[in-house]
Amino acid sequence: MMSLAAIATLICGGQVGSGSPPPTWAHPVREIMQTHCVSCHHTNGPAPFSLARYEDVAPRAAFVAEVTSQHIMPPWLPRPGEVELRDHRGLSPQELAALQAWAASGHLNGDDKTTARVPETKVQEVDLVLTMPEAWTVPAEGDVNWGRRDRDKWTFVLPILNEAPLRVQSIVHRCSAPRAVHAVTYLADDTGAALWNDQRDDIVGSYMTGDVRDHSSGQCGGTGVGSRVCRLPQGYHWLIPPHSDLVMEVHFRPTGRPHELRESVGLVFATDEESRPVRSLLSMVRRVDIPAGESQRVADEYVIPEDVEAIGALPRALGVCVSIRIAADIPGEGEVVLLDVPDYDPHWRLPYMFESPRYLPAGTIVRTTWQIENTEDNHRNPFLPVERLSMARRTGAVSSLLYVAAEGPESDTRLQEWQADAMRMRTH
Amino acid sequence: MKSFVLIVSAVFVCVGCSGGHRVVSLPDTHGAQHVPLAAHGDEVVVLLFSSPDCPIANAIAPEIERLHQLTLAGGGRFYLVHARRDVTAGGAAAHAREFGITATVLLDREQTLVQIMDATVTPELVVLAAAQDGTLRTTYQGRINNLYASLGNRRDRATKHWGRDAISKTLNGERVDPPYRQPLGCFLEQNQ
Ligand code: HEC
Repeated sequence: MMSLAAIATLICGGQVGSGSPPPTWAHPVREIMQTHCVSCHHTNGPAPFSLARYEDVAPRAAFVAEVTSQHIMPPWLPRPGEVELRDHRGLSPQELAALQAWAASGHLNGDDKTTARVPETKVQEVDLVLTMPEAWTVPAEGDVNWGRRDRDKWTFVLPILNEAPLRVQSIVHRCSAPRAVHAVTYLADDTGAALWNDQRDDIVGSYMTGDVRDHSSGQCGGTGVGSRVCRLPQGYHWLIPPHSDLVMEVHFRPTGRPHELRESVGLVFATDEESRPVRSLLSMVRRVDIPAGESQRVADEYVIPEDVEAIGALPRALGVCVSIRIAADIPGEGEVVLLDVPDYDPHWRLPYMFESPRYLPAGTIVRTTWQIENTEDNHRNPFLPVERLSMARRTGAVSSLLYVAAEGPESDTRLQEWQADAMRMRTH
Repeated sequence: MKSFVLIVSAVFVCVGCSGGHRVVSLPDTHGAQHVPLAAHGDEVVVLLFSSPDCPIANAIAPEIERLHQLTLAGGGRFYLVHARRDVTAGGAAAHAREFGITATVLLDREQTLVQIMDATVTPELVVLAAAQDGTLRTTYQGRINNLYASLGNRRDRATKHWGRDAISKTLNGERVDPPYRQPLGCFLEQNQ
């Protein structure tokens, strides 16, 4: 808990210092809840309780001050950097100080009976809905096997049955158990391999990752807590080949009771004739081998062969990885950090879209580094008790995707050929 | 309420001692009254402070039920205690059903038991055993397991089970060491 001295410093020396009236629900606490919290913390939302009413927040004033000051809430992994991210979350130092002062000064109401407005959950119109054929149950808790290898995730395959290619601008996840489902990533598979794998037993889905052969889950974006719509900027789309299955890798967090899962995914098609396909450039380290109790920084780099617009990035790794950084070394410009996740938690990860597409000329070097801590002290390490970590995967034991669009169809074809060659070189 | 507060050490609580005697009677979800701190012979009493919407407490609901069964099997009494004014009997009963908890659920709306026990968060465990003189003494207080390493920092599963260990040892008449482990969870704040 916060020390009294710290609180006193905040009240007396902070932004809400002497002279100004103490913070109240009327101002600014209600607005802070409205802007930063109630999108998740509303009745039946993905968070465990509502923070919309004074009566909800006042009995938790100190707890709210604590989790916000520790940057646990709102959940957001990237550190603010050179490239602005769309829909980013976080409180200003003034807002943090106001919540602390409010808790310390008796969480005054300020004669305000009103409630923080919960943003309307618009039912987004979609062009096609895919639904799991049957339900699967998220267990109440992790057991000895849970969390080992890939068992805190499950992969479902939803046949699209499309005769023609589809140009998808948004993926809308209608989550049937929002408190138990965390990060989800998507991939379109036109090889039938994912469906074949799923149908090997009677259980819906399988405990594999969502990767299929050389293709990494996340190639069609991802969704997560509080962000169940993955929308590309206007003018860009994911291209889904004919006869594809949508493969969704779902990361769970058991909540103490079982949850029935029957997920639906809506696809919104691009309407813009000029829309450009988005490709995912994969950074990865195929194999890691780290003795028990040790840490290692691993890195990968490649040179982008064509001029592209970078749209966003997705970090991918198990919790044994504690930080991920993706930087671009741009000819004539130097290094630009595209994404910096200093405290990686696979449960909160999202595809991070750039506020505006970032031009990266041919010859740009993309460098990704992952810090892996195979220790007991790394609490998110799924491999406990700690043992030698020896992991290999075609799509990378650790990886990350950079979403890019080439400037025209020929350039896009060359980019795809380069990507396929690069995968062959790395994995065979 | 303040007159009810006893200044107690975090480790040893003397609830039945002369002078400090307090008969704390709390309702369960059916309205029946219970005196959780009444010492009956050599019984073991287990209190688990919880809150229906605390994700950190709910995450260990199956473990709470296991601790309840463990206590019953050893002939002890187990209470799940909700300590917020806004928790209703109906809400607490629905929560227990939803999370598969069959223990007696007490409503400590005035935080009487919370204050006597010096509980600070949910979930927090208190294990008490009757001493020779018939008074209840705390043998263990604090964390149930290490599912959470810190706030916002959760393991995929717990690897240390201090709660089970404390209850088993107390039922066997053995010492629990250490008798206190700083609990971690949702803050138990003053009621409005
Ligand atoms: C993106 C969704 C989201 C947003 C935005 C969000 N929360 Fe949360 N919050 C959650 C979820 C989900 C949990 C449950 C914890 C878990 O699953 O690990 C939670 C848990 C909490 C807890 C309980 C402590 C814990 O770690 O479990 C508190 C307190 C809290 N949130 C406060 C806030 C406050 C205050 C804000 C705004 C400043 C906020 N949250 C914004 C999703 C959110």
